Amino acid sequence: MEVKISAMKDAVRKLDIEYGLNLTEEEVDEIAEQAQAAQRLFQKLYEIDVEGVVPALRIDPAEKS
Amino acid sequence: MNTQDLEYFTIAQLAQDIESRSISPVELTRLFLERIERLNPILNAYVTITADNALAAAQKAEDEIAQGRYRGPLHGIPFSIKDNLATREVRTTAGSKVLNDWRPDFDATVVAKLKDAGAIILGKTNLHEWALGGTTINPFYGTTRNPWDLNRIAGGSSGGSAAAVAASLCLGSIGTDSAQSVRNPASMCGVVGLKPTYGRISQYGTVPGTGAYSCNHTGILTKSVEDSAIVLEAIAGSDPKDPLSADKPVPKYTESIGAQVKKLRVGILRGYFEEVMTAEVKEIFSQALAVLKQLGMETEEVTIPHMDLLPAVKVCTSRVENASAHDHNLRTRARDYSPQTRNAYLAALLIPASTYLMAQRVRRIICDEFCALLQRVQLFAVPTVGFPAPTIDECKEGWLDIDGRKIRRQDERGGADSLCAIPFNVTGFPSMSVCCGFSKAGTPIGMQIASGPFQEERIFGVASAYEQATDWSKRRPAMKAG
Repeated sequence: MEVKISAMKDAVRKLDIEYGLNLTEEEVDEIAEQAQAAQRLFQKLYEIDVEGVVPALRIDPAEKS
Repeated sequence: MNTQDLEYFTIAQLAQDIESRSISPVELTRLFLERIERLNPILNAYVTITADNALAAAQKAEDEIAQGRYRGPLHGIPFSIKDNLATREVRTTAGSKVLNDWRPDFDATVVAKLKDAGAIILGKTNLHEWALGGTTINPFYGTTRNPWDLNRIAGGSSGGSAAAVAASLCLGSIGTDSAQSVRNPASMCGVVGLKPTYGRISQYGTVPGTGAYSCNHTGILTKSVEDSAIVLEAIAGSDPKDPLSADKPVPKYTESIGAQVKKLRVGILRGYFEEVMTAEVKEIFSQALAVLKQLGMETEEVTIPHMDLLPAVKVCTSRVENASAHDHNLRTRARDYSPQTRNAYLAALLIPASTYLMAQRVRRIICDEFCALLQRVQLFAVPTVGFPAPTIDECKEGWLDIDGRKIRRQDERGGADSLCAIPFNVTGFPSMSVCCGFSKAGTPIGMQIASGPFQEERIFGVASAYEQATDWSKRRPAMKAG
């Protein structure tokens, strides 16, 4: 489910306050658009079956050699 | 010997002359420094030149060798170091304004190992801001230019390292590779770029936030495959200071040079990256494959079921891990980032933890699928970048021309120039870029040769056989050094 751009902008504004960034509205828009584009990309990750798959939290090629 | 002669030297050749004392490390270092003085103002490969330290180290090397204390093939050999690797008492900027005056009180392990091997550090090389990009158009330290065509980028993020090696401003350079950053500039500058297996070389002393923890690799840029093997032998190995370094013995990589390659099976990797590949690159790559076949190797096309998810896994992993490293600076010095870089990190802070974990679950599937391919093939081959080095103006405008199609250089999947390289950052498999031809515009094209975990020896064997069978590595850019 895609987050609406308005909700993403609200999230950026919260970040702006928390981090003391003093972002302009133009910057808020740009960051929100980037975040939304990334979210669209990541949506594909939820479309496959990962039942029983353990996250690769440690990449240790030695285990596989 | 003059500065022009430097173009034709490799580490392997010079090491013998240094050991036999027919070449003086001090004289060699002076010549490199003279060449840097002439050419660096044009190329902007180095951001810091450590002439006095280099001459002192060269004198020490010369004295040791005269006393019969020869340390090995890197003794007296001039190197450069990407400026995101800590160098004791030498400015280390990571290409950022935030660290523009940081002088670490320690050496990165890879730098310490080079110094222990007797190498001479000439200076620090330019990179993309925080190593986050493939152009080395740096808003604070300027643009590194491609020695083959000064109007074009050198690639990145280790663009300064690749340009320095290609223009013979050093004999080898150490870079880092989180998405492409050693192999991409190696390809664009026509040199050999090795990203070894994840953990093969210590990352201790790499500036945090210049590469995702689980995707980043210390890598090597050299003029020849044999030189790459010599350097890896000297700097690989486990490191108590780096818990992610691999506890595996370091083989004699140089013994793989000239090894038998007949009957090896090479998987030609197919996937999403072909959409940003020009017909010219495809043709040059296909000629390179023909050479591998002439050398007795067998090829077959391969892919994995979830190949299309690779960019999403890579982008999610990198952005979250990098943003974590930048949290403090974003809270205190956000305006000391370029707007583009700052905004990318801020957007990354909005990625939910559950999405990061989902990416790691899919990553596990992708790694297992690549491991399954190793039952059928021993190596992989794929172009390093789908197009030749773009012009600096094209990069600034943000568009690329792929056979008449205008595409954005950067989209939500990251840089178009990274798409062929990232499978080996997600899996941690070793991969090397070697020059496999030249575009009509006269700029180099690279081919990646990759293998399974800790199979660098296979890569050295095949890459050196390819290098010997062709003359691409013998070409040099027409830099006027006087």
